[in-house]
Amino acid sequence: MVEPIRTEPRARQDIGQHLDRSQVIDALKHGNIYEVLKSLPANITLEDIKQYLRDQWNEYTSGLVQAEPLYAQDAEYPAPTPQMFPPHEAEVRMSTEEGGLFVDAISSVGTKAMMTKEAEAGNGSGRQGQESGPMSPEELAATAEGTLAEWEAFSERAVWSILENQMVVAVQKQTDEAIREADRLIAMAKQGLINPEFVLIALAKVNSAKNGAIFAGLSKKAFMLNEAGNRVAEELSRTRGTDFGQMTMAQSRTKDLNFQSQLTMMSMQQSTSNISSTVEQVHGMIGEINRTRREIIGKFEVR
Amino acid sequence: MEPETTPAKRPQIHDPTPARRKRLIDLFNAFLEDKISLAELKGISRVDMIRLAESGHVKFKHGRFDEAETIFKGLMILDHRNPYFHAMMAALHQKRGRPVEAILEYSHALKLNKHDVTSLVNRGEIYLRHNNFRKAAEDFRSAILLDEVGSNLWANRARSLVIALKRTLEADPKLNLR
Repeated sequence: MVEPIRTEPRARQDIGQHLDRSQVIDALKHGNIYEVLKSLPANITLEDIKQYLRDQWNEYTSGLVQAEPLYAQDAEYPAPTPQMFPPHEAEVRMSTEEGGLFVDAISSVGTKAMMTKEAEAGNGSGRQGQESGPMSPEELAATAEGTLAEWEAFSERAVWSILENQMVVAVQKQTDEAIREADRLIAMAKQGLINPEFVLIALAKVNSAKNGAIFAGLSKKAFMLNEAGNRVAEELSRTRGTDFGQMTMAQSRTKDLNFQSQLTMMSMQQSTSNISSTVEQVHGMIGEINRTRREIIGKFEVR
Repeated sequence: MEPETTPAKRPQIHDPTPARRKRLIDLFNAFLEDKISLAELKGISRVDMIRLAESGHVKFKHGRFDEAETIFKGLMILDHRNPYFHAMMAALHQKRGRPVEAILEYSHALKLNKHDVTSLVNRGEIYLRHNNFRKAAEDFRSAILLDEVGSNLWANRARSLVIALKRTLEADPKLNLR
């Protein structure tokens, strides 16, 4: 006799595991949860629904994989890409010989490795030879003199440039300070704290400061021109008047220096006349203000 | 019998390679003006430079900082105009706890490439760690503005750091925003 197979009674099925309550699940997914709770079947409670939602959350959070990082870590830097490297120019590459020549040129300034050719018109023949080694004392002296002359010319140009820049900076600095002071006094005059004569004096000070800085710069320039003239005279005295070329150069240089000195003197005179005319104008204006004030007071007293 | 050289007739010196000398002078001037690099002068190919940089980056990523530093120091000498090398040196300095050197190198990299988001964020983070909130905020702002889409990892890091900075300042208003 075959006994029937008795299975264990099935336990109450959970919503989340067997999906038996598919209608409730669909209602949860698509409907209003309050409506679902109102019309719950008898064998499903609120706790069942909460457990179902917890299971769903765990499934989602464990099932999702973040393939790419959201943000970088501390002190990281990306790997290099070919776009970060600009293409190289092929024609600038130095050959081995050129590299050696370059190094030789930098490392030994006094060495020469050149071909020499003697140019003699008499015998009609030339002699070619190769010289190598340090320069002769005469060549070294000539090179040194040439270098010294170049340095002197450069320093002279640089000194003028520096002088001009210094003058511009000084003028700017002086006028800025004076303008700040004038602005302060104008503000005080507008408030009635001081008389307007002080404003006129402050504006005159601005003008004087600017012209004064220009005068100082021009006087330095005049001094440098004088020094240059002295140098020309010294060079001429060294040759003792025997070198005609040197004398011609000295003459033209002296003419140039004299012309520049005259221009500088004229500019200095202009600066001083600017200052004096400004002071006179301000003096006149203050006098006019005082006269007008006395007239007003006088008329007021007559009444 | 060869005629003697009189003092009045000095031997004339002729340079047999004037064109070559001119070329070398032009190359040297171009190098001084940052128009060409030492790698180009020496003939080192671009591919070799990329491979060296990749190997340096791998060493950096795996913590072999000494070797990476040697590689990138050499690369900086070969091509001082490439901002990537400076930025990698800065990252190495940052990893090794040298903030001043890191900021200098990041600044140099940014001078060469203004749109380098990574350098902006890393430099901002150094400022942040040293309580220089204003400069940190400026760098983070610049980095975020360069990535409006939100796809750059470093810009996203800047966004999270800005949020953290904002919360810190809100929590403690006495913090000096310098």
